[in-house]
Amino acid sequence: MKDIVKLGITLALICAIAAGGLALTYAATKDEIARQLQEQQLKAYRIVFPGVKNPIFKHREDLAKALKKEEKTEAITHVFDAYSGESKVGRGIQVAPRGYGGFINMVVGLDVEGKTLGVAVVSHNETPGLGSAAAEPKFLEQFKDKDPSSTVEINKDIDAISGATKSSKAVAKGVKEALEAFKETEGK
Amino acid sequence: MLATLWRDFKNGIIPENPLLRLMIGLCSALAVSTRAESALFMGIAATFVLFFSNIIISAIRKVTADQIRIPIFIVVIASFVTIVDLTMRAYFPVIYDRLGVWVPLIVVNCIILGRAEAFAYRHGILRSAADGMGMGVGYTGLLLIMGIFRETVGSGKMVFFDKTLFDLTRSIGFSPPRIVILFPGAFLTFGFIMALLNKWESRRRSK
Repeated sequence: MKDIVKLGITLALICAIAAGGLALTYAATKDEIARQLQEQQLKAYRIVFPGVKNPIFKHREDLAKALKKEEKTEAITHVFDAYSGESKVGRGIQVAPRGYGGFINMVVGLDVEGKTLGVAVVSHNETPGLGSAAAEPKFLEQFKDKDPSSTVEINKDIDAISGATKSSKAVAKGVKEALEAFKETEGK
Repeated sequence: MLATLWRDFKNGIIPENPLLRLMIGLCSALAVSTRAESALFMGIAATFVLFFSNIIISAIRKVTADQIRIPIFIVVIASFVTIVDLTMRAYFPVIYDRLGVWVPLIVVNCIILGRAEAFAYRHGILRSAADGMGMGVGYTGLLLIMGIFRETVGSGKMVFFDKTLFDLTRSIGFSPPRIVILFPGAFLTFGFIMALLNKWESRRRSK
């Protein structure tokens, strides 16, 4: 009995010290992590609205939440509106379809009529040299000028990356989901 | 004393290289050695954890009762892994993204728990530090060799911090065998390195 108490106290003490160390590290890196994430996101947001000078992005968490609730598009993570000065230039939809090595975090930019202006990948974990080509502009360019009525099927409308069908399909699915989400939220 | 430390340090590089000789921690090594850059950062992360967890575990070994040593090791190791995880996420987000799940998985890397149990729990702080560093260098070294080989042969180019050091696909029209960066390539590369080392060792011994 005495032993158990002694062991318990030792263990608790060590855990407490470890927790303290972690709290300090967390506090020290918290802001930097948030800043990095935001920067990465913003970079992708700018890519999907090419030609818009000094775009302003406004998150529409209400729409993203509504979409999630209806379970129509489970992979949607963010919805935002893009403005150039006062005028609205389009809507961006951030979506995370499942690829080969995990989720592909990507953004689709659409103009006010729902035509895709650009697609960019924020982060992904696809096989380097193979699936990673699905995150490169050369492949993503193919998704330009689509609208909610067009199909984005691999090997029909879009040339897949050879050897990386799964990654290619995931990106196409992401774009499709974004187009559908646009239709759902149009005019809101 | 210095000679002992040096021997402990060297021990991890060839005689007891965690990957080639002890054959532990292979999973992460095979997975992240697709690129030299990822291999280097994974090696640094694991070395950091190994070094500090060895020091702390050695320092508290006298108050660590036998019955609870494993949970204590895990707490110490997990704390250092989380520190590495947060730091990498804050300052090297691109590499963190690429390493993905392998950074948090350092917690369950056998090398670290193995060294805690086999070495740090039984030896002094300085010797444990030397052992941790040596094991880390041995791990990083092999990871780098595999990473450099697999990236060069498997993708035909070498990219470091978004800078392309060379691109054989452009300069000499080399078409890389993709298998080298896929999973089978990891096993093949590792097998060949091991075979070479064994060959070298048996030749040295027979002399």
